[in-house]
Amino acid sequence: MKKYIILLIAILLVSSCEQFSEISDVERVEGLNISLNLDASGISTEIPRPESYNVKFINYNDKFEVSTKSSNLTNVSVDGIIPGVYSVSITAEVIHNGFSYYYSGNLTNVTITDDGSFDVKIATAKTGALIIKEIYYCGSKTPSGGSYFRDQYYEIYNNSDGMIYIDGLCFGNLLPLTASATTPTWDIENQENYVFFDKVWQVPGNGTDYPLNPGESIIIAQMAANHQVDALNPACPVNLFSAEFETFINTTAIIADNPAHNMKIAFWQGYRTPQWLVTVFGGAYAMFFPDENTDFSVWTQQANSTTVAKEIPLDQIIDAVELVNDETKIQQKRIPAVLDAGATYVSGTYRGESVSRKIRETKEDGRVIYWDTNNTSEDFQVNPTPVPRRNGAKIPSWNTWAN
Amino acid sequence: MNRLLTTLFLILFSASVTLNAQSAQGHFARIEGIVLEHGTIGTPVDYAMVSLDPSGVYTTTDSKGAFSFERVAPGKTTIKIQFVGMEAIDTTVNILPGTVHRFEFSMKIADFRLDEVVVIATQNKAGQATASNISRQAIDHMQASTLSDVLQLLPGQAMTNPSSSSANILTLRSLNPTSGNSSAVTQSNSLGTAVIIDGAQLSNNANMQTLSTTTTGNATMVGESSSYANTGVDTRTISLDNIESIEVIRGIASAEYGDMSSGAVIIKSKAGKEPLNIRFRTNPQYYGASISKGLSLGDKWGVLNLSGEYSYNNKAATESYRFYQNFTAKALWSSNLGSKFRHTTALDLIYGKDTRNLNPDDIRGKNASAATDLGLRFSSNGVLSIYKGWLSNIEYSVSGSYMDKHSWEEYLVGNGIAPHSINMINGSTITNTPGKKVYDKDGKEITNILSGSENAWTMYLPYEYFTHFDIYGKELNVTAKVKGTLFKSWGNVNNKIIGGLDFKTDGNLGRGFVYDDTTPPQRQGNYATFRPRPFNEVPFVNQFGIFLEDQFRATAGRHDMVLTAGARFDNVGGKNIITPRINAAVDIVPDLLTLKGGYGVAAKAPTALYLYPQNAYFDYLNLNTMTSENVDERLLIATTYVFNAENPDLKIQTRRTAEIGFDLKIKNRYRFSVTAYDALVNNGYMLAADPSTFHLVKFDQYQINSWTNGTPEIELANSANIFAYYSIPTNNLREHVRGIEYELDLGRFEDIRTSFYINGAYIRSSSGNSGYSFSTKENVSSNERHIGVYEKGLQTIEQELFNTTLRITHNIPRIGFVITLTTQVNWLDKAWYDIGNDEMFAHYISYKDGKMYPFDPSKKNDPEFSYLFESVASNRRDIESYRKTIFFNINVSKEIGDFLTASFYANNMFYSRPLHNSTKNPGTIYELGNQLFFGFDLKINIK
Repeated sequence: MKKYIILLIAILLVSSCEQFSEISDVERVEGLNISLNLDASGISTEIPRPESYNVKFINYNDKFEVSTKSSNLTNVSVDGIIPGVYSVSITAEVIHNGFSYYYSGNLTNVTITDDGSFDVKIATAKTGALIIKEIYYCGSKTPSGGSYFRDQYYEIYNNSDGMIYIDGLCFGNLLPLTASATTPTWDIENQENYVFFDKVWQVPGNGTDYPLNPGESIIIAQMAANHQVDALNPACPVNLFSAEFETFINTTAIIADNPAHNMKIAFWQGYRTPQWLVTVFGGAYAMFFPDENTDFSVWTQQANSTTVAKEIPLDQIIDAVELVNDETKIQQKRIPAVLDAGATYVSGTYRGESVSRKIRETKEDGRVIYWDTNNTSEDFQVNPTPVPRRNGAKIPSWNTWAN
Repeated sequence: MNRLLTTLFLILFSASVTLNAQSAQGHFARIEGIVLEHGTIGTPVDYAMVSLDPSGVYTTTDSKGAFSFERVAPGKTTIKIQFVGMEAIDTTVNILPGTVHRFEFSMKIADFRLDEVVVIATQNKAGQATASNISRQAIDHMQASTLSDVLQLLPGQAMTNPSSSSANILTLRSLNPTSGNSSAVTQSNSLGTAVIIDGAQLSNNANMQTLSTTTTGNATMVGESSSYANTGVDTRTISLDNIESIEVIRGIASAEYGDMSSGAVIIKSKAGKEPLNIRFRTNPQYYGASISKGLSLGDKWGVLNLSGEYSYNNKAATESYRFYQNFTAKALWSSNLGSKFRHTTALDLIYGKDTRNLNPDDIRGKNASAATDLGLRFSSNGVLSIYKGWLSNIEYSVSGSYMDKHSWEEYLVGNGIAPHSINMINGSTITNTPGKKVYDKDGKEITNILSGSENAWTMYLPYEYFTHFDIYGKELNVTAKVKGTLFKSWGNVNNKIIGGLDFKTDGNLGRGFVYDDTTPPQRQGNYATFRPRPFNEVPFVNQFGIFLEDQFRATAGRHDMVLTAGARFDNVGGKNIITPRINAAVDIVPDLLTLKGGYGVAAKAPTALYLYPQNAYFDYLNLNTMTSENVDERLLIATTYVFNAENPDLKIQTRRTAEIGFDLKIKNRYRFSVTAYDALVNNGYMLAADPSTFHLVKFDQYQINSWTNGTPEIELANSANIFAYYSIPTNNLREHVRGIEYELDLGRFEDIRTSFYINGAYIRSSSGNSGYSFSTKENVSSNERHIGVYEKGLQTIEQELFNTTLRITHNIPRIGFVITLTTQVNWLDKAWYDIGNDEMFAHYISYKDGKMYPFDPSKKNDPEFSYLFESVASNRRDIESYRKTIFFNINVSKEIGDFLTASFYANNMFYSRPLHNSTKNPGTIYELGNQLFFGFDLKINIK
């Protein structure tokens, strides 16, 4: 009996050694090689070209990332890619005549299993002077653990060196309302050239009523009140009484028309709700100045749906920010990469957290310049609590009720 | 089927003796009989019910099992004998004039050891209302736990899994659409479905366990799933275990049935001596136990049947905090007083409770609720046999029920901010301080404290508060009915005439809708606000009816012809209606082909909720500084508008049914029956807005310029004409159902001990709101806006269904084993919307004067109207055509010894959940079919 056991052990040992030797025979995985053909032909030749592109492959599932710089402007080859699903971003920045030009190209959700090449269209965006600086969208908890969402607000900042009139500025949220795996089909040609607004609010004024100096910001509150009063939410992190604007909806049951100026409803098709509530799961926002072609009395309809949207061409958008539910939804973003190549998120709904832009530099006079590379993933940070006029943003002089 | 049974299994001895003219009164005959239990040596069956058709007379057997009928008209006569737990006897004999007929019947105990077990619904004979009869055995074998399970035996019914987690309401010949105005269609149809237990019609007419219908536009249930207030009765409290048989009239009912429009479910309780039955039943969401026994109280006192049932239903396996409990007890006494009078008198105790306990994880909602029904029902019905002249007998039925209902709900209101007031006076403007007057900067009074609102105040609800509200209903229902049966025959013609009166009253004595003044339920749309409402101020609804019906039966050679024609007159709270009903049948080819047809109208009286809805209340804010940080500067001014939501023009809901069909009987064995019907409700009850419910009111908004020593300087900021609107009870619901029901009964093939039965239906339904529909879209630039009015009957839900259900029953009598395989094939299942012009208004209601004007289509893009236009989906008219599906259910019953029966079933036994790629929304995929579901039932019979 013992003999057999020894024999058995011997056989096992031999065979396992065999397996080891098989493993040692396996070729080393070198990683895949992907080459990208970059096509920037659609960009006007008047715009200066960058020296190189920053190329980034991100595999969100495996938390794997490869970054490199391209050596030329038409082709880049990247090694060491493990098979998986990737988001690819190609970015570059050129400063010219006081404006920043952001080059970007994007591939989302590409499955890479073998060596290969992809074509990427490169587009460019001129960064405006106005940026969306902070967004507080997720709402807060009440003292008893309930949910509070009347305290949403948006801060818009003059990131440039010159004064800008914000009269007529339009701000709104985009469709689909939440990040979604299916992209809606719109009854419009070349829908990739537009963003689709669910609602558009407009700053009132005759053109010169609301100047915004460098380093100043405006706050657009859903409701410009002190939210910390007993009737609202004593546990709310913000007092928005000093907000410049509110998205006031006049009903027979209004809470109060606060001192803040009322934004105009520029586009709201469908039935009115008592408040402008954008999803606490994370909406997509954009702003623009209407031009002579912007007509809010016509709109675009979603195929097989009663949903309608105001379509605005991409090149008219000054700034856009994509917010999603969580990391798993980044690949379901709504905004084209040329406006926002990334997305960010807070830790959950009603957590009292906000997202705001990271500081790029602080001038000698204390004025802060924020990052705006049209990539929310890179440009934004998550804050444990919203702070209106964070980092010393100034209140415009015409806001007489703030003090 | 019964007749077939009889010929096969009934041991019938018949002897006819010709007597002299004195005892048999010339033209008339006499029937004598004795009923014994099969397989015994002369054990009599006492208290068995014996009836004769067409004359409609009936009697019961005495303690020796004997019965007799005097003055029986000659001709074809059907003798029916029924007794608890026994196979019914139904046989037709030819009665000769001036003779005494003597019969001896032998009744068999209905168990699974019979050669032929009836586990399907059997059809009424031609010439009567189209109906399905469901026996005790069928209920047992399908292990039904609620009445709605039983109805799956009806042709065309989709197979569903049993559930008592929500109110079980019954609908007849309806496709119950699941989109559009779905709930209104189901509500109207179920409200019109009468449930009658031992002659007493159950009533939901005084049920008002709902939030205000004007505020919500619907009869919103309170407390999970308690019975809806505007539907038929919740049948979960009807215990199936004390039921002897169920008849479901889905065609044209006899004129004696009133206060129903869709049909009637007529339940006969067990009445007779019966051994102790104990039953346990369970499925993944349910367990229950019942006990029943029939005691003989001796010859003089008759029999007493006692039964009780308890059951517990979990809403879902993952939600143990949501459940329904039910306890019922019944005592039913039936006895004879002399030989002429027999009665059945019952007392029911009913208790049902839906509970939703607080889910410990529900921090944000803190939602809990319950709805309890506790009641007593007394009913008595009886028959006095007369046999004088034309008059055969007089029947009576009286019933009274008292239901104490309490529904409550509590939750944390979020985003609750809204004005709320206790003011009940229309047009009165008050503040947050009772009696306080407020003036504008010119000294003009803004407030308008009318008589009755001196102590009223208004408040602004905080964003978040905890609400708890109760609805206390005490429903009282009383019914009484007297019916006389007259019978006359001459030659080959029989005339049975029934006529009678009925009376009903329904009222509610409850405290009604109650909440704490400062924490009302969460506001609903349109800013209509809540007010408490006592139900005991709501008048009783009285109904009075008269009916008359003649059943005319003639025989010409071997051809029979039956014509039943009748009408009833009903008066409900000043509204009158006459409803005619006719059923006819002729056997074109005797014993082979019978043609049948009918036409009838049935009417369902409006309920208290529809006759007396609560007023609509609106609190409009003129000024609000309640979020001011300075407590002294918090001022609220609000104007209250009150509108009566009663609809004086409300008509009685009717359903018109026309039927035609044939019964084909081959070799006296195979039966094929087809009934085509057309059922139309075009004045069904529906809560809906109407042009008359758009009231123009002046809405002034003030602003405060400054505060001086606690006094504000107030100025008018804006004045607008706005609409207050709400829902009222209307007759706008339209439900048009056309269908062909078919039934093929191949009977039992002895060689394979298997019977085959097929039924099914093709149903085409069209339903919707036949009134106006509205666009109430806001004008983004102003509070003033018109109301867009679309053409009447803008949208209907169209459905088409064709299915076949095959039931194969195999039984082995020797071992008491029965197995049924049910196969349902859905050949066709389509749904779409028929939409009129939804891109243009027919009229508009102007905010300038509140009047309705025709709409000029050229104004579509005019900014004055353009905001009213709603967007429409391009695929809204596309058809959703579901793929064909096939599902299998299995039911098995086995008797173990002579005291135990075990049953098991599995629904969708192969767990077929085919995926359907939507034809209307390509890319959307639906999972069809039901969940795999199974249950077990154990019945113990202690002799």
